[in-house]
Amino acid sequence: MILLDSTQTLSAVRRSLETHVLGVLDDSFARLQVLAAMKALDDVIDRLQRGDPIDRANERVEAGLRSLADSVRGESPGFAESIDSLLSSAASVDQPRDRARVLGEGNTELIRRHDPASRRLVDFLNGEAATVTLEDSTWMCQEAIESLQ
Amino acid sequence: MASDGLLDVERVERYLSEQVPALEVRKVNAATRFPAGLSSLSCRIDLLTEQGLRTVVIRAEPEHGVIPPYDIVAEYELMFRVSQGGLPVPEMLHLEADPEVFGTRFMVMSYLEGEMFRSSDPRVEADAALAEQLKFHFVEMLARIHLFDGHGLPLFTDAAEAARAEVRACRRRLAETQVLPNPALEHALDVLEANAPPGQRQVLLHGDYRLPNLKWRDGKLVGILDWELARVGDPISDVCFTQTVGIGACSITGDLLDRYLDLTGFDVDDQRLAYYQLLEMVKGTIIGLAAAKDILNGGSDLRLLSVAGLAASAVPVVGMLEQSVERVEAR
Repeated sequence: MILLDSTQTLSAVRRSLETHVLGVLDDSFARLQVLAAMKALDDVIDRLQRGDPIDRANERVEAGLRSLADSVRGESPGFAESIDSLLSSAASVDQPRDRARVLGEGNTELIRRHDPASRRLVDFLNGEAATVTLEDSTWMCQEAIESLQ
Repeated sequence: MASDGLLDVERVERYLSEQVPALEVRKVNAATRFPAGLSSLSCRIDLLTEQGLRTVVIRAEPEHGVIPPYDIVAEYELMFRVSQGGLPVPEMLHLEADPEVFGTRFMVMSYLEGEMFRSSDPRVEADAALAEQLKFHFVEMLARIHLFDGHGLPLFTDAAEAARAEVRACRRRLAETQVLPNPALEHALDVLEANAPPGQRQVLLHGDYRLPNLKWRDGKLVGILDWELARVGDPISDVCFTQTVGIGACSITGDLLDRYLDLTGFDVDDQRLAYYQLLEMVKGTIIGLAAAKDILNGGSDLRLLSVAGLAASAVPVVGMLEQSVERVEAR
């Protein structure tokens, strides 16, 4: 398959499913599986072209944490130092999903301290979750979701 | 998959003939999986019996699923008691508690003829009279469930403890199923654990009370299905489910909430509403996120991907609800 790159191959698979499989399927459950598979392929193609969204999420979370640490350093120096330490730990992890795990576990610990700055961290993470939703939910298969509602 | 045997017409025919003689099965004409639902595996079994054609349903614990641990035995026993109490559920016909027989435990129940509606169903949206009829019976049946005291489920010391038990169950599910840590959800669970409101009573909760789990004939509610999330707790929990995860044409708010309160004689306040809305959203989100783990564990139903995505997209909403709980608690 050296003639085609991965995106081109997956795009062909997607076209095949849409053209040759979906049209002849009568079974509603099987149709949902094919529709969901096409959406999953869209997502994989997007990741191949734009990179893993977890990388972008990690970057945003780390930038937000740096900004939060700087803004609370006067009122909550211990909290700011803990954020610095978390960022330092995360920086030593190469794999994006492992890095997200370190950040997630560290943020949970920070929130549980009930420092005055914890509320701001919660608000930031809720905002970040909204950003991820906007970026990451477009590939969901609406037909699959509707079938369950 | 081990439970595929439940779709094997000859095996099912042999089993039902030997183990459920009351059905008087002569032949199994067809066995098909119901496409809806993500947890328990439900199969429609079309039979030829000594009395003629009959349809039954086999409902089995799934090999993969988003609400572990499954307990079909408890579900069977509860549905049996509920049917004895006069609530409309399928007739319980048989329980197979040995997972070795078909690779999973399962129950056999009657098939209820009737119409089903989606939470946001175009037929309902287009017909105001139908919508009113459904709402009327929807809320009336929830009141009947909540007033049914023959459920046999053990009670907690109070409704607050029931809520905390549900929060602990959520924590376990999250710990067992989350693919990546989720600080926002963990925090919401902390808020819920610390703020469980005292409640006036504990009742039988359906736990998944929404239009897709109900059957209707001629505008009357004739069947309540899917009891796998049933438990006891503050009745407002089920009400809040209809306002959040189960939102749709029959969400119990406004006049419908007033009618529910009239029917039951219960009361409600902002604190409990805010609390249970958050709890139901967190629960629904955790169940949805478990779909991703299910895929990692070998699940092949690709609808799980979309469900996981939908659950992840609910996290910001959970964040907003959590703030409302904190505002109520701060008063």
